[in-house]
Amino acid sequence: MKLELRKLCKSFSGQPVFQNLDYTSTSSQALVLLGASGCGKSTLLRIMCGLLAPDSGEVLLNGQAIAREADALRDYRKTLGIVFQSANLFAHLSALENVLLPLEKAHHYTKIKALARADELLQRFQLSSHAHKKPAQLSGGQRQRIAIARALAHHPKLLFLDEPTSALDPEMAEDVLSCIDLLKHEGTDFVLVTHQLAFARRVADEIIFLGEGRIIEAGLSVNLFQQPKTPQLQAFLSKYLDGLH
Amino acid sequence: MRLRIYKIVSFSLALGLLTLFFIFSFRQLDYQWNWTALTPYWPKFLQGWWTTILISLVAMVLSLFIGLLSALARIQSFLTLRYLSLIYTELIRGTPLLVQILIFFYVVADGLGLQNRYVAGVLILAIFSGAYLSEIFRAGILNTSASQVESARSIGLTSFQIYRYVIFPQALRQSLPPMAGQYASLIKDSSLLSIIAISEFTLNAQEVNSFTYSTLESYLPLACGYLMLTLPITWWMRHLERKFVYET
Repeated sequence: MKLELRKLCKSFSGQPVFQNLDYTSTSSQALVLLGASGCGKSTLLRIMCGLLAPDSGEVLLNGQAIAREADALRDYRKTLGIVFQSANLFAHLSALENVLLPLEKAHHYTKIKALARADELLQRFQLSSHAHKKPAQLSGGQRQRIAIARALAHHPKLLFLDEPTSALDPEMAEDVLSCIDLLKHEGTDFVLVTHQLAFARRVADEIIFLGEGRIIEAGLSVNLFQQPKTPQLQAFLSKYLDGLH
Repeated sequence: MRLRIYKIVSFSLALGLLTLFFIFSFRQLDYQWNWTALTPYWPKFLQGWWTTILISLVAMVLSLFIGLLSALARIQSFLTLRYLSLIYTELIRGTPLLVQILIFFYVVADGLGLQNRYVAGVLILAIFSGAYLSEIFRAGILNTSASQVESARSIGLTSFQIYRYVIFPQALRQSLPPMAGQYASLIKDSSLLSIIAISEFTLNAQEVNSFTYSTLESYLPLACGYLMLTLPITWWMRHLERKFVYET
């Protein structure tokens, strides 16, 4: 996957979140967005996946600029898989129906084909016994794994994960993280926003470190973790990675 | 099991206390009961009760459509439609049903050449109840959380599909309990149609009273008759509340 940001600006009610973001990623498999809370990581991810329009500038995925027009934007989103922090699943549908809905309605799978694909995914994530439960009857970790299964169901070209573990307790978070590990191992391309620095270090090929409304530092994960250049990233890493070395 | 017995005993006690209170009140009144005077009029009660059921049923179905349309109009970007719905709901919810019945029947229906008082009565009830249902549905639609809508957008559903598969099913589940409450009110409110001489349950009880001068004997069956209709709805509402509580 190759992502390019060109002079990207976004503000909410006159308050700039970031300005003039410029970056071209190398062809990496896993891009991780890091930064303190409120630095605009989730906003950037939402712009990248076409859920939010930037004020100006553009995002290019594999050389192709993201559309601005509603129908084209929806078609773009259909090529992606997106997992949010929480409340991903539709509360009135069972786990299985949650996976089936996009397959049947957005991707026009036949019922039989959709069922076969959903079964395959639920089995892969060891969720088959929970297929007929409503989200409220599942644990937070199970809900997120279903959400990941749903996001993967239509074979997206790229997966976006927005702090998928931040609403979970450590044990459940581990469940979800091992699930993402598996995806990395299988070669799925993804963009991840996370606060789990140790995990970011494990899976990331490339890092964008955001702060002060701009990209403070970005590049290959190995370089950033081993030799952070900016004092901000050094402070950030030492704050969160202490005790993990 | 013990909780169940405790509940039954507590309920019986509460019911017993209220019964004692009413028995005491009636004793104080020194009222001469004359239930036999009512004997020839039971078919009249029954006929009024049926009329109330029929009027209420038709009004319920109509008000459902009116409420849905008004709630949809309320979330449109076309402002005229939105204001029409706003004025309708505020006007109806802010004025007494009695006044609405009189104005609609003697002014609007007359002006439109609508002669049948039963049709007019059903329409008034439906319009009245529709305003409340409109607010119930609107709240249901707005309460569908932004994150659920974002989730629906993220999987590539069209706006229509988002309404059809996510917002409406969730809004409907949230709306069912208050909707049942509104329907119980509608049945009781239909009693006001007696002022335009619709021969429903209340008017028939009033007539029996004027024939027999047995006021309490005429009105107590009236209360029971309404309870027989509203209690099942209330129970259904409780059932729905329990059923959907885990989904919120």
